[in-house]
Amino acid sequence: MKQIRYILLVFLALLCFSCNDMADVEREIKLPEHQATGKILVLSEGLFNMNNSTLAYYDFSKKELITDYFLQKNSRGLGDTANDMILYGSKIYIAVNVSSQIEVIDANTGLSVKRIPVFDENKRARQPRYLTQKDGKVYLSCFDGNLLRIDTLSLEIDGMVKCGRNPEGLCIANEKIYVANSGGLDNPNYDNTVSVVDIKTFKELKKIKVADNPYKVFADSQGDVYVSSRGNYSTSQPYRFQRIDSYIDEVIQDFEGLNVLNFTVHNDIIYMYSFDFNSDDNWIKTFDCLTEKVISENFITDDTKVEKPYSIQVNPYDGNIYITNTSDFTMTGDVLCFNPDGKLQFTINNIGLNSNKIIFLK
Amino acid sequence: MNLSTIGRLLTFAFLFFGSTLALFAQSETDSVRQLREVTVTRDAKRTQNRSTSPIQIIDSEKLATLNALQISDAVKHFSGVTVKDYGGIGGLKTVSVRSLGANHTAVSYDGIPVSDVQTGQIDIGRFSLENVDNISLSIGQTDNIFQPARMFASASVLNIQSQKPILPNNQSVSGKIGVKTGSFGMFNPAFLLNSKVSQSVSASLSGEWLSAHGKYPYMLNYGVIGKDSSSLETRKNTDVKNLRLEGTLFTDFSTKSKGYLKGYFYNSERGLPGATIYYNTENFSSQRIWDNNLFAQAHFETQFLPKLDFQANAKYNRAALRYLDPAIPNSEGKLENNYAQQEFYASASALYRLFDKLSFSASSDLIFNTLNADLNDFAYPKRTTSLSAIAGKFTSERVLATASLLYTQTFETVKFGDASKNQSKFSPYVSISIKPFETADFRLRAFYKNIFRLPTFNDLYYTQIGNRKLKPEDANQFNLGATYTLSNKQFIDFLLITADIYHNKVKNKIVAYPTKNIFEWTMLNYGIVEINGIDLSADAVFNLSQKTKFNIGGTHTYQRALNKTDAESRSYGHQIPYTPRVSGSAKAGLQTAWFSVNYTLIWSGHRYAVNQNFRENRVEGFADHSLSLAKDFSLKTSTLSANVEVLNLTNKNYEVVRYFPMPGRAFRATISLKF
Repeated sequence: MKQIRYILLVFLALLCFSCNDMADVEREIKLPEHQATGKILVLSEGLFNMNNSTLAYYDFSKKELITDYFLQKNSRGLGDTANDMILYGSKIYIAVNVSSQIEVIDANTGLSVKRIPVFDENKRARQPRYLTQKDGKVYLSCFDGNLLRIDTLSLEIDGMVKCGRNPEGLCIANEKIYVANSGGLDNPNYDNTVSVVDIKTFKELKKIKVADNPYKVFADSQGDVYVSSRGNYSTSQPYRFQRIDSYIDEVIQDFEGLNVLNFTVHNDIIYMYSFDFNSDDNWIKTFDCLTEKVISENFITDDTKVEKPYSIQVNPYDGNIYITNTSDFTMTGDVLCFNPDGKLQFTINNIGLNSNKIIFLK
Repeated sequence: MNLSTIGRLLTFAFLFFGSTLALFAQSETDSVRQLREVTVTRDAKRTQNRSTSPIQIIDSEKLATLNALQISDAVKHFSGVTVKDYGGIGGLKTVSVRSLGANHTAVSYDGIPVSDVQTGQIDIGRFSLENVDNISLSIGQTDNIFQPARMFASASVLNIQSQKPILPNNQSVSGKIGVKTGSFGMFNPAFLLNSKVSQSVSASLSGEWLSAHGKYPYMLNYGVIGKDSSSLETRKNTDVKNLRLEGTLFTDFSTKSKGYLKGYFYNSERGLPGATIYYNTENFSSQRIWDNNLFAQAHFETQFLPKLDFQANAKYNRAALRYLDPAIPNSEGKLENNYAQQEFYASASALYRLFDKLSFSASSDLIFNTLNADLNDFAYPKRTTSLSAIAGKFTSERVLATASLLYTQTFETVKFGDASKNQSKFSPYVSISIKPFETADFRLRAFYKNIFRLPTFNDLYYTQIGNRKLKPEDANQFNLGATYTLSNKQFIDFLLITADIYHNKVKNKIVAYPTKNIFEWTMLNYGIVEINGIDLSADAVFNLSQKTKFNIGGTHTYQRALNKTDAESRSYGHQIPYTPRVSGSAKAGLQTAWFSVNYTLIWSGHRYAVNQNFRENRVEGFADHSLSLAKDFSLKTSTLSANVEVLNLTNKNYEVVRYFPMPGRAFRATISLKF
C-alpha cells in the first residue's frame, strides 16, 4: 500500500502550497512633473459606514504626498463620510457627516485643535453637511433641518436656526445666508426651498421656492445666488439650475436645459458639470455670471476624459480648475488640474476614495 | 507572530499529526479489512468518502463537541465556507461556499429548501442546534438523485436534518428538556417531546425560547491597532428575543410507504447594531427588526412498484418582516417598512431502478413566490418557477457516477412597471468517483456543474437600489478530489481525509453587501470572478482504551477569488471583498467514561473590506478558540447532562465584517435531561 503514503504526502504538499500568499497591493501613485509652489489638502469621504474618510496632503515644491495626512498627524481617523471643509483664518473646519462631528485643525500643522460633536439634546446626530464662513463665525448646515453657528474664538456652537428638510449647500450674499433644503430623506417627497437667514438676527426671513431637491448654492459678486437642484435623479425630473436675486429674494431666472449637478463660482465665472449616474454621461461647462450665458459648452479643450466627476473647484492663487474623478464610487480616484483654457496640467492619481473638497494653501 | 499565523500553525499541526498517524497506522490495516458498522456516524463517514462531489456531514455526536449554539457556529467547521458574521447572537450570519456568494447556497430543512425571495440569503444564525440530528454541506449536489428538482438547482446545499423521534425500548414517550445560560444575559430553555401515537404514527413536538441583552464590551480603534488611539465601548442595541415551535407527525402507511407532516413557527425581535461609527457609537444603533415565520411542509414516499419509487413534497411558507429606524432625520423622524413574502411549493419525483447498478430519476417542481412591501411605488412582484430534472446514477463497488440535467423556467409579473425578463435555462451536472485500489478505501472524484442564481426581488425591485434588467448570475464549478478512509476497532476508530482542488467561474456576478445598515443592501456588480481553491480536511477518532476516545480533526481552505471583470479597473486581479485567501478550523476532544473535554478553533487569514486590496482596507485575520467540559450522569430512566463552555478564549474582539466587532470571551452553561 505504498500508494497511500504517496497520497498522504501529496496531501501534505497541498497543505504547504496553500498558505496565505495574499499581500497588500501598493497604491500606484504617479506624482505630477508640474513645477509649482503651494500645497493642497484633499478631503475624501470614503464609503458609508466604513470610517474611511481621509485628508490627503500634497506639497508641490517638495513633491511630497501623504494620503492619510490627518491620521498620521493625529493618530486617529477623521471618521465616517467627511462631507465638506473650509479654510478660515489659520484653521480648517471639516464636517464629518455620519460621525456627526466638526473637526477643527490647524491649517499649517494638520494637528487637531478641537473636535466639536454635533448632537441634539436627545443625543441624536444632527449630521453636519456643508460649511461657510463670515465675520468670525462658521455656519453649518445639518441634515436634521438646522443651520448651526460656530464661534471661531471659543470653537463652540453659539446659535441655531431651523431651516427646511435635510439642508445641503449654503452660501452668503447680502448679509444673508442661503440654505438649500433638499428633503432628500423624504424621497420621493423632496423639499423644494432655499431658506434665507439673516446673519445679524440669525432668524429665518423666508423660504424661496426652487426646483425639487436643491443641492448646491453659490453667490456671485452681483448679489445673485445660483442654485442647482437634483430632481429625482431621472430623466422625468432632471437636474435644474436657477438664479435667485438676493435683493428681492426671489427666483428670477430658470436656465432651462442646463442640467447642472454641481458647480463653483470664481471671479464671476461658474465652472459647472452634469453627471448622469445611470449612463455616466457628463459635461463640464463654463458660465458667465454677468451675461448669464454659457461661455464654453466644453470646458476641456484637449482630449482629456473625466469619467465620473465628483467635485469642481478653482485654485484662488492661480485660477487653475481642479476636478476630482471617482473610480466607480468604490475605488480610489484622481485629482485633475486644468488651466483656465481647459488644458490638463497634471493628474495626481489614487489620492482618495470619493474626493469631494480641496483646500489650496500658499 | 500574529493570531492568524498561530491559527495556521495549529491547524497545520493538527492535519500533519492526523496524516502522520495515518501513515503509521496503514500497515496495521492491510491485514484488518475494513469493518462496516451500521451506525449513523459510520454512515456519514461512508457517504463523505464515497461521494462524487464534496459532502461534509456533522452528526449530532460531533455537533455536541463543537461549542456551537447556532447552526452558523457549526457551519464554520466545514471546509470551503466563509460565514459572514455581523457579531453577537442576533447578528446576521450568511454562508458563502467557495467564494460564490451566499445566494448560491441553498439552505434546506429536512430536505426542503428554506427560501427568501426578497434577499436570497438565509440568516443561518436563526436556526438553533436544539433538535438537530445532523447538518450537511454538499458542494455541487449530492449523489442522491431521488430528490426534489430544487435540490439540483444551486451551487451548494446546506441541509439541516431535524431529529426523528427516538423511542427506545418501546417507550411511549421520550424527550429532552434543558436550559442554557451564559454571558450577555443569555437565557435559552428548550424542550423536545416524542410520543408514539399508534403502531404506525409517532409525533414529535419541540420548542425553545432564546433571549439575551447581548451587550458586550469592545475596543474601538481609530486607526491602526496598537499604533493609534482607541476607546473602550459597549456594543448596544444587541438584544434578541426568539421563539421557535415545531411539531411533526410521522406515519408509516405500510411497509412500503411513509411520510411526515411538519409545522414550524418562528418569531423574533432583535436590535440591529450598526457599524461602530467613530465618535458616534452611542447614537448609531437604534434600528430594530421583527421576524415572523410560519411554514408547513409535507413529505410522502412510496415504493410504487418493485423497481419504481415515488415521492411528493409540498410546502407553504409565510415570512413577515418589520424594520424600524427610529433615528433617521426625515420629516417623520423614522423609517418603518413592512415586508411579507409567501411561497407555495409542490414537488413530485420518481426513481426507477433499471438494473441493479443503474437507476434513473425524474423530478418536477413548481414554486410560486410573492412579495408585498409598504414602499412607495413598490412593484409587488410574483414569480412562478418551474423546475424539471432528469438524472441517472451508476453504482458499483469501485465506481459511482451521476449525471443530471435541470431545466428552469420562470414567469414573473409585477403590479407596477415592467417585470424582469422570464428566464429559461438548462443546467447540466456530471460527476464520478473511482476506487482505484482493491484494498484501500481511497477514492478519486470529479464533478462539473453549471448553475445560476436568479436575481432576488430586492435585486430587481427594491426602491432605487433594484435593477429590473439584472441577468441571472452564472456559476461554473469544476472539482477534482480524493478521499481516504480507514476504520477498524483497534487503535484507530476511524480516519477520514479529503482533498479537493477546484475552479469556479462566476459571470454576471451580483454582489450585495450592506453599506447603509445590515438590512438594506446595495448592489455591486463585479461581472466576472475567477476562483481557484483547495479544500483539505482530516478527521480521526482514536481508541485510547475501552472507554476512552480521542478525536482530532481540522479543515483548511485556500481560495484565490479574483475580480476579473475589467482589465482597466483599479481592482482588477484583486481578491474580492470579505474573502480570505486562507481559512480553517480545528478541533480536538477527549471522551472518557467520566467526562469529556473539547477544544475548537476557527481561524481566518486577513481579508479586504472593499474592492481594492490596499493596506487600509485590510481586515486582520483572527483565531477563535473555545473550550468545553461535559459530564453525563446516568439516572434511573434518564440521563442528566451538564456542559460548560468558554468561548473565544483569547478575548479578542476580532471582526468578520469591518466595524462589526465580535464578542470577546464568553461563558455558557447547559443542563439537560434526556428521558
